[in-house]
Amino acid sequence: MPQIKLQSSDGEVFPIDVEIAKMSTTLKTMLEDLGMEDDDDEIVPLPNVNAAILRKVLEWCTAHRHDPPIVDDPNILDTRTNNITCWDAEFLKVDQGTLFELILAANYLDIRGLLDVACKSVATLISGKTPEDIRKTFNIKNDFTPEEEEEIRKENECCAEK
Amino acid sequence: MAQCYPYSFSLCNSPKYVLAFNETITNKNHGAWAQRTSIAQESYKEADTDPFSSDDFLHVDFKKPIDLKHLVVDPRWIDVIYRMWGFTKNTINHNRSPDWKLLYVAPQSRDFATRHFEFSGSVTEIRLEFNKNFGIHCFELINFMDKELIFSIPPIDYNIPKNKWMKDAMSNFMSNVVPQRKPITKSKGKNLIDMLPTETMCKIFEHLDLVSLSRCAQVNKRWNEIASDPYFYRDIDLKIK
Repeated sequence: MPQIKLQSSDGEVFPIDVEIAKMSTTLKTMLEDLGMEDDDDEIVPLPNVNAAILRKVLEWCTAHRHDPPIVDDPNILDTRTNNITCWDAEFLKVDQGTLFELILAANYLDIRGLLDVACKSVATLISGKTPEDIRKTFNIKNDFTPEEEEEIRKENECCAEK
Repeated sequence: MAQCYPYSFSLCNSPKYVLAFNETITNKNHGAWAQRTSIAQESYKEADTDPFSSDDFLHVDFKKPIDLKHLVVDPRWIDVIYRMWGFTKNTINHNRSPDWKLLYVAPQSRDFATRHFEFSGSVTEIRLEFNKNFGIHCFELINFMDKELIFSIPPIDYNIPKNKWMKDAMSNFMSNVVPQRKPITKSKGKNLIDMLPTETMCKIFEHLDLVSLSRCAQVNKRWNEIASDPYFYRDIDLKIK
């Protein structure tokens, strides 16, 4: 199995199977365009991912290496009801900071499945909450004036659950 | 010349991207810069009211002027980018106009051949205008473009082996061009979610229903702006539950 080495922002080097690296579209494009597959000495620097997060990302990729590729078919893909698998739910039992770091890393490396499931996981933290509950969940400061808040509340009244 | 391209650029990883992207949604006008171009703007068609129309553009600026010699357009790209403009700061003669130069116009026909375009002169900014037919998956498109553009700029000297200049471009991109972001510091009581760029916030909001979106719009000003984006209201399910 050919391998490549990834280097995290804090300098740790992760030798991984090319097959797993290719779950990242960013790395896949790079490997294919560079024809780097036979080149064992190449170290790919990932300046925006630290070792702790990269380890998590690789853990997810290893567990999902046999997943079928995600297809964009509006008839079968309903992202709003898609469930998170048990494994993913367990995997994503992390603090908010780690969860957001994972989203940024998945976005940067373009790992569609991980990005989807991590975003879904944040969406479940938002879903069904009132604006005030959402603020509490994420420590968000309300920067509306009372007048603005009232106006926006009215604007969104039509969508409010009866 | 043994010099590889000393640059590569990113659309989705640069802070400029977010600005440019917001611009594409809110600013349907090309603005003053268009007046400075050598070709007058076409008049607006009705179809241009689509939020992601040919009026959408991305703006990429370079830290220093780049010497643009070749543009290779992959056949898949022929009608994705509608026009490309380059801006040169004219430091010698300020009265000379226009500063915006039309570099590329999509050909009328697709012939599934890779095309090479030759330029002369340097540019400091590039504006890409999109074909209006690339709408709904704009985020995916831009993510995709990001990778394509990084690796689609050929070397000045074709004698340099491909993997050599690719490697240079790659390591330059990975280590210099991608802006180093501050790590999310985990401290209690801190607003961490607003450290996510708009692009990723949108990806989270994609998974929400209308009720939740309307509540997100009431959280704070930034969330209001993101959750009010027409992008989320393109595919509304009117079924009565």
